[in-house]
Amino acid sequence: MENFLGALIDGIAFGCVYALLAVGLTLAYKTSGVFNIAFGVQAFASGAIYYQLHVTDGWGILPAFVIAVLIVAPLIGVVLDRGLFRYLRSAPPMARLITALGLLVAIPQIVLIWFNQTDATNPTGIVPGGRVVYHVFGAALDRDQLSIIVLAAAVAIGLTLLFRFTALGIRMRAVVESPRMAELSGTDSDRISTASWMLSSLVAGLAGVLLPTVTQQVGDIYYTTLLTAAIAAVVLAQLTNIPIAFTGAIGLGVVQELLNRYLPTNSVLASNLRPSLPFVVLFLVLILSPRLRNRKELTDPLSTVDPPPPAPASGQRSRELTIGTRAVGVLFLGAVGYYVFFHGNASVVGQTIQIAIYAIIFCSIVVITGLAGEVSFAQATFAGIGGFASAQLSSSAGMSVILTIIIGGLIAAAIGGLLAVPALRLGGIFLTLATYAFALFFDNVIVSLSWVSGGLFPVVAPRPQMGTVDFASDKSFLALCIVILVIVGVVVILVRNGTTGRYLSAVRGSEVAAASVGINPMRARIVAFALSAGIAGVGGALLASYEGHANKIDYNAALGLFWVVIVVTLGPRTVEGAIQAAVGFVLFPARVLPDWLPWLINHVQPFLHVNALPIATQFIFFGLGAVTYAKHPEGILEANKGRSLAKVQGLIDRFKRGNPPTPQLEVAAAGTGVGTP
Amino acid sequence: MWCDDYDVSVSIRTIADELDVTPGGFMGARTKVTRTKVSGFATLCFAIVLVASACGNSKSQNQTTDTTGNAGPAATAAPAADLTKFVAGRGPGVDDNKKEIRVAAITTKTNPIGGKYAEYVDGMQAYFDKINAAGGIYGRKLVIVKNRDDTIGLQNNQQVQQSLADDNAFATFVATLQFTGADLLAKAKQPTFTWNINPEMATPKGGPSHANIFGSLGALCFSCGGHYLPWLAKQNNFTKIGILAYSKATSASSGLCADGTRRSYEKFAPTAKVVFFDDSLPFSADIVTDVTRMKQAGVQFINTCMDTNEVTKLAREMKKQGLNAVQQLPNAYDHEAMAASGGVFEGNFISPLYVPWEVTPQSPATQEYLAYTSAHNVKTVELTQDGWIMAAMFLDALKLAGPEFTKQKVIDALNTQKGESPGGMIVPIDWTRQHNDPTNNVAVRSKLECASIMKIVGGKFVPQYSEPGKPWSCFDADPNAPIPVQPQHLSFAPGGVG
Repeated sequence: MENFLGALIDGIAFGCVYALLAVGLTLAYKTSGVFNIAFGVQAFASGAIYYQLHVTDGWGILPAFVIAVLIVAPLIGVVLDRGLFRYLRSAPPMARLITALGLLVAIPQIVLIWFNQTDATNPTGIVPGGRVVYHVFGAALDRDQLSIIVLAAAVAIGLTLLFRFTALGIRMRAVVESPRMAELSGTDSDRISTASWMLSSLVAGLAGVLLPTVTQQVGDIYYTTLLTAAIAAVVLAQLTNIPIAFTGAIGLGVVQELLNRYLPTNSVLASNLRPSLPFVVLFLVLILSPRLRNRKELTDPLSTVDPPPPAPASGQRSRELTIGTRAVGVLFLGAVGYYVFFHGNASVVGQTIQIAIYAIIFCSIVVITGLAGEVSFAQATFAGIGGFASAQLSSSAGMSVILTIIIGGLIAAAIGGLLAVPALRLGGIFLTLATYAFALFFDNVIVSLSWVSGGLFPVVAPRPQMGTVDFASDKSFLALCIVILVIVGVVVILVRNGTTGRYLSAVRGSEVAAASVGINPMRARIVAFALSAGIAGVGGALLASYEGHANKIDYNAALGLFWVVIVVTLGPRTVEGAIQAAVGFVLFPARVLPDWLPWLINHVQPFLHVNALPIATQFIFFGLGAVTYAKHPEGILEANKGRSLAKVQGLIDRFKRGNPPTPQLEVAAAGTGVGTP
Repeated sequence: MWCDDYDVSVSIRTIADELDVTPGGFMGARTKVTRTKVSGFATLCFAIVLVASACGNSKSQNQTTDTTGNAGPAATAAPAADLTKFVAGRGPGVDDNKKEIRVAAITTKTNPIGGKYAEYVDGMQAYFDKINAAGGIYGRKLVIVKNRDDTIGLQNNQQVQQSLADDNAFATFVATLQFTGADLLAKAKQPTFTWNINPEMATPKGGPSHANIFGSLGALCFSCGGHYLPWLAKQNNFTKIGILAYSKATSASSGLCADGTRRSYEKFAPTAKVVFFDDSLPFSADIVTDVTRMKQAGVQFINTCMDTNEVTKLAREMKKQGLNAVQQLPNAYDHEAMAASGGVFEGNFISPLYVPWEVTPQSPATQEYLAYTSAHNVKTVELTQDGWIMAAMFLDALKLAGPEFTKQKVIDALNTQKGESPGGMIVPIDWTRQHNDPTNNVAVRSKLECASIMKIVGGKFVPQYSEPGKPWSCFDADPNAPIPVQPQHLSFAPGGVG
């Protein structure tokens, strides 16, 4: 009995770690409408500052706590609100999620550059004598743990009271529901919004200084790992109910502890269930909870008065301009192709192959995000499914590599379609979270199976051969990749312009209106999901074949998040955007940051000499780029392309007829309510 | 001397184990982790390198000092006079105009999912500076022409490819989280020197030869186990053993390491029993229950296949729950971190992968490393020492190849060495066979496993079970050999000191 009680108490103690994050994440959503996936890295910022001041610089606990939690954390909230989220109050939840995702990628790198924090070991908590131990029913708890328990409970209770019994709490909720309607009732939305962000950031800061005593190291990875586990409790609370988030998180901790205590440690069940429990719970809650299926997300009811999204810039060109731009495009690609195939060294050819492969994978994001309007965090996983399947079938079963690439794509498509059936009932953020749970489950359980990834040594993935044509050389393999990219690109364009694309467009505009004219939203989305997964699978198989192995790190879920960031930053709605994203993804770390940008800087001014810019810059660059998604859902490059084409069109018009130029093509994005930050 | 039983001096080293993914540890120690970041889930892999080194077969001319075990031509065999001889036209990577031997480095520096090894290059640079200050070699300076950051995933492959095409380097140094570019370097026959935490360094069974890739360890065997831990348990009368590792999903090598360790006890330690075994831990695990269960099982000695951060957490939880067991630390030879650890590691054992600095008398090579790095403000941690050691191995190879060196000659020369150990700082490696994956091939394993055993006493590292000037405790690595009463105590340093 004492053993059970001890496990229960230990479980409650660890559950409070989740609870602190779950309550913070729920608070952020409740008061801002943002599913703040960057909450963990906000916590990391405060944790790093506290560590720097208290452990490294020797400040006392109180002044370090005041600076890190009471000053810096709310300030971060003010900056995020005033600089970003204030302009997204009426934006669709997906736009806000993407913005938070961008912050998730960018903030840790900014903090690391600032503090040069790498191995922040031996952190201390916020109470003196944090290691002093108390024994309760056979469980040993130290002061640091008790401080987490007490503060997590205090935060949960305090916030519950705030929202139930104070005018501020009600105003906070009103501003999230509809800032414009709240304004009509005399509420200062801006001030309330700022207060909300300060409050949620304060909780993040508190978590930031408390949790390192559990993880023993201050690193963004630890916060994010714990946060991801806490998401299950947040979803259980339907993102808004703080008491349920709190108790759900504690329940998760208790279940985890009981499993630890009573499952045989060397059993297959233990080795698979323990690492994956939070994701399994998350996925099951998402799929099985009937309340989630019928739940409406926090969206401004007035958002539909906003104008529709801009059409692709290419669709707004005159015939002459279309011919002209296409001619320039063909000439440019011809010149690049000539250089790569006839003068490029192995490095240039290799990078071009990677661009082609990633462009294929990124086309999958175009389908799911650009066309279907959903965000999937599992694209890297689908690429991995294709990669592992192709490698296993070709190296173990001796099948034709080309055939295995196709089969890899089909397997990924089938799994994507199967995942879509239950997940698409959720829609929006919940769908995204379901894909995330699936990706994490795949990373933590499936990939470890030797018949999937090969175990310690990755599975060999040979290059294809078709009859007498051998693609062993890089240049011939590049040609194959380009052909497949063209095929995939054409398929995506055909789908976009065909029935499915129009259905998706209609569903994206208004699901109710689409259903009323006989469109089956589920069917259209499942097709998009399966197609997207299949394309990613083909790209993943090519990636494995290019490298010679199916390396699991290439299909890591975290990498998949960055893929989403880079594609939505540059252009999620066109094949061209996918190619541009691939160019950026490959060339930024390989050429732009180490060579081209320093060369440019050194040649335009005489004062500052730069050798090579840190590769981390790319995460900051693209992470911050993603925060423009709400303003430019068509992507930054696509938006600028629209402007450029409009200018050129104006010049053509003026030249031809002496008419004034046509107006700029850009119009405000649908439902964003975007002002000018 | 033990080594005198043989005709030739052969030293071999066996690594019992290693881990898998990222940087971990106090010094980013010898762990390799795959870690997922943003998601928060990720996989992390950390590894342990437990070790054995081996020595072997040396017939020394001086029985009291020559225990280097070198069978092939000695690494320093090239006549000193030849080292200044300039011969033009040495081929790619050697600039006759600038009189430079060009070297490229590829390290994981800004990995957002964990694992940063930039300090490796600091150690390389320090060693090259020392050599260059003394006039270089063959009338040329050693120059790092490019220090690339391979970040994550495919970037290693990409950076390797780009380096081979653009850097015009004679040799490449690699310290990376995931060595996806190993095949490319092998195919290009580029002399390559690595911080070996990557199974990809080895020539896989039936795979392309990686005979051009050299590490401070031979090819890794995660699951081989060995005699060292059972022997240590016996010495300390530990009869109840606990083993902890990450789940195979978190780190494949960690799970293999745990399996190998358990088999070692079953085979070599009849009096010790593994009473607690957990190879299901996720990254950043909750280990409260593990400690509770180990306490209930009466565990006395704990072996882990995890990164330093996790063993720190484990140590703290043990202290909290009052579990008075001893840990064998996989990689925590970091003086700063140990000083800051608050005494939670008191009484634990650790076996660094090179001669510990506390050994007395120190070998000339260790003294030189410590003196030079101290004088030039280079951090003295495992990564810089490994960079220093591998730079020294490169220099050994150049000396062996002679003034008319080429890439292939450097590779071939080093591959004749049966006991390569720059300055005797590491257990000698038999490069005639230790390129190959030893997991299921006993023939390519080293003949001895060696450990330089330290105990943490009063927050300091104190050498154990060694003799003055002979820091290594070595066992016969034959998996069928019985556990000895006492290991051989050896030195691999020229002159047999330290």
